[in-house]
Amino acid sequence: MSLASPFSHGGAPRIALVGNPNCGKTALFNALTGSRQKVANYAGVTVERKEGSFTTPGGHRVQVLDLPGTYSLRARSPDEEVTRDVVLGRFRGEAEPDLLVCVADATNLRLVLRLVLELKMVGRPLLLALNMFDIAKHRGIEIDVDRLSAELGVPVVPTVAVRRAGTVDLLKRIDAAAEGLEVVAPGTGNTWHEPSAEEVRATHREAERIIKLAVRPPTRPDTWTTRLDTVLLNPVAGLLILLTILFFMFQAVFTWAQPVMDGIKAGFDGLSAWINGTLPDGLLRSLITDGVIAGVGSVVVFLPQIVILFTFIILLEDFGYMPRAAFLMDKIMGGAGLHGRAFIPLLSSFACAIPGIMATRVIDNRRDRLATIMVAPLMTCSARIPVYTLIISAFVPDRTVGGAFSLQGLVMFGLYAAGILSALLVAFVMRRLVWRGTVEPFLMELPAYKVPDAKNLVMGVWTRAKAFLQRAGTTILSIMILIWFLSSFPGAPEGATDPAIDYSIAGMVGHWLQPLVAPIGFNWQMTVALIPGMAAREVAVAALGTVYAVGGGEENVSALMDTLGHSWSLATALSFLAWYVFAPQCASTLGVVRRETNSLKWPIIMFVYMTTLAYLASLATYHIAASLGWA
Amino acid sequence: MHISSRPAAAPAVPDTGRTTLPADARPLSRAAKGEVGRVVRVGLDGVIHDSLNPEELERRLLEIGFVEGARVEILHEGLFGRDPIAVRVDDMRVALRRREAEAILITRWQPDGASPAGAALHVIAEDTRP
Amino acid sequence: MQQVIVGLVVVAALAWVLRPSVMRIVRRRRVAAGKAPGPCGSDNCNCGG
Repeated sequence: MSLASPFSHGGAPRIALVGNPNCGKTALFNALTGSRQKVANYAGVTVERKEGSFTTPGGHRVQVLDLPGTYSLRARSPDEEVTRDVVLGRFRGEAEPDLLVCVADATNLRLVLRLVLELKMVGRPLLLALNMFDIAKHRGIEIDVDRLSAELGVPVVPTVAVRRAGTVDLLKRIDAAAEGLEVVAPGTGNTWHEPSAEEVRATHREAERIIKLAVRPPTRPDTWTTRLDTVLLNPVAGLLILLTILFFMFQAVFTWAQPVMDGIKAGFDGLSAWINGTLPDGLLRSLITDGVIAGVGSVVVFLPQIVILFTFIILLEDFGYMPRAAFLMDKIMGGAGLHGRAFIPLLSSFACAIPGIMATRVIDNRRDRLATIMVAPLMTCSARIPVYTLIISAFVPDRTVGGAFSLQGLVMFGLYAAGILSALLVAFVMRRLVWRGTVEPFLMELPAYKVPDAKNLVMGVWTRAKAFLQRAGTTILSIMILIWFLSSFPGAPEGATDPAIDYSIAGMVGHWLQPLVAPIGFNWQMTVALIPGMAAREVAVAALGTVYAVGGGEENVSALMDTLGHSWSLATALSFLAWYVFAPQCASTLGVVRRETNSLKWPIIMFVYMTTLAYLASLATYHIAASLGWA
Repeated sequence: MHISSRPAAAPAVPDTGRTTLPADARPLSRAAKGEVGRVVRVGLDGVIHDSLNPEELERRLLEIGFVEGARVEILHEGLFGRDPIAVRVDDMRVALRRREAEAILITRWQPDGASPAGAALHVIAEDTRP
Repeated sequence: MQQVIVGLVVVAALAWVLRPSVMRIVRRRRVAAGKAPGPCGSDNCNCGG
């Protein structure tokens, strides 16, 4: 293969950014591409793929790929496998990069130089970008760029990703490379192979030698990180601070989002009302209002929560706190077989499992990530609250027990606790019994603290929000339409007295499933309500209103409470609550799991195991309650 | 799950032949907060570890900066079982569990680097800038 | 007319949900027939180097 001019294939030149985790690679990517980027998954793997494009000052249109951070091409996680395979040009469906830009944190060169030496063996045109060069200068780290370049045999460019002018040199090099000038390390044949431990040692010694020659250690070392760590990593104070941050985050997700969520809900309701007033009554109107608007609205309403949550997550990540949180929580999470990093996604799932599952991207190891995704929906999300509230206020007497505690509050607390405990238990079973064998080591760099960059934050939140809206507009929309179809077809016959849903496929399925759910104390009305409840958990409240022919849906909750109080036994009500703790009553969550894992297998496993758990829990609850004489 | 199969009769620190280990060498996993040491050996020399296969663990530790000759200092410990630990490795910080730290042998830190490995490093690393 | 539109929308939604699985099956068929390269490392992988 000849690589005389690196960009000789005629198409838009392709650049791949490679580097250690936390080296500011994403900031550089954002600086280069601006908003012209898209986030997706690599084909067949759960790894996030970030691609963008830009035009150089010299007028060349360049495509950039931001590869997952790694310390070595010797891949250890699916993320790092992607990096290795793309760099080696053997990732199926991914074009070979014309130029590798290795991004280094100029304040922390030791490990990245070893990566550069490894990348050199790949034999592709290579360039080293010394990012955060300003911070290094500020600390008094003196880097002899020419010497470094000469010793490595790789061109070196200083960059400052957070400043507008910080990428000028890099862009000049790319332009020159595009014109075929020798400004990048010339491509040679690939001699890379997986290094042995001895080879890693040897490369490390070589990197050490180059550092001694070209880099003068800092005269003003970073004392802030040390000082902050004495507090933030203190065994007791650190945990308390972590809990405070989480409490604040949780509060913000619930309270700050509420007004905007109400606004979005009102907007969709208004749109529905307008369509109801304009279109004639019929199938099409029902599809648009009950299917599309109600379905998409029930998902888009979570957008404010997702934006707030990701603002916090990205802030904490950019600040360098996330590895510390994982450090503090590792022992506690490890007891259940989960990785320390699973903590934040699981906490987010209390608001909604969808952002929680999206946040599992902070977990590198595939099995750890899958285990976290699989238990995230067991956390009591906010959509369960309307259902819990309805049943508790209809059936649990409003009195105090033990002098101080409201019985209703205690039941609510018990439902939350049941969710948490079952999540830990399921994770334990998955990691200790199903995926037995090697325990993924907890081994990670604690990067220096950095002041988060506003532009980076906005960009990060925007890409997540965009990805979420795209999902709501495609997969989730499709699922909502299918659920609408099941609950509306075939329509009620002429002169029907019962609600139309009785005659639909959902109604038929409800009647047909009746013998199955009889042992757990459900009647057919409940089963029918659970089917549209798949769209979103709280829809079941409205659906119960529909099947019991109580007008007004959610607005008329007290009438529904009376009806339920008369027609359900206490055992049935408790069984219904137990069902709601576990049941996968959320098509959007299953849709997100499908998107995030890129396969139908995981949502199916999730559906089956959660339904089984729900059934067993309801069965036990119903029979215990019945034996206590509450039937 | 693998159980560490180190025979009870063997010395806590098996001599590997690769390097002669100093008498006071001991695993990083037993170090307490505030302790400073120099890495003398990374890897378990084939002893089975319940985390990963020994070769893989050795390479991962090397890749994150635990190399022979590196200066290590225990900066912080977790609340439960004093696990995991935050370690300063030369000029960076790394968090790891004591389970993995078992594979790193350290000796007391001597600033002049009097040990053979340290001395060798120094010869290579001499600053030759004008 | 309305029924046709609604039917098309529902079929499109079903197709979208099933699309990745269908694509995977099609891909596997093509690999088996030797018309497309298989994943890296497999018997019918044809990546260079």
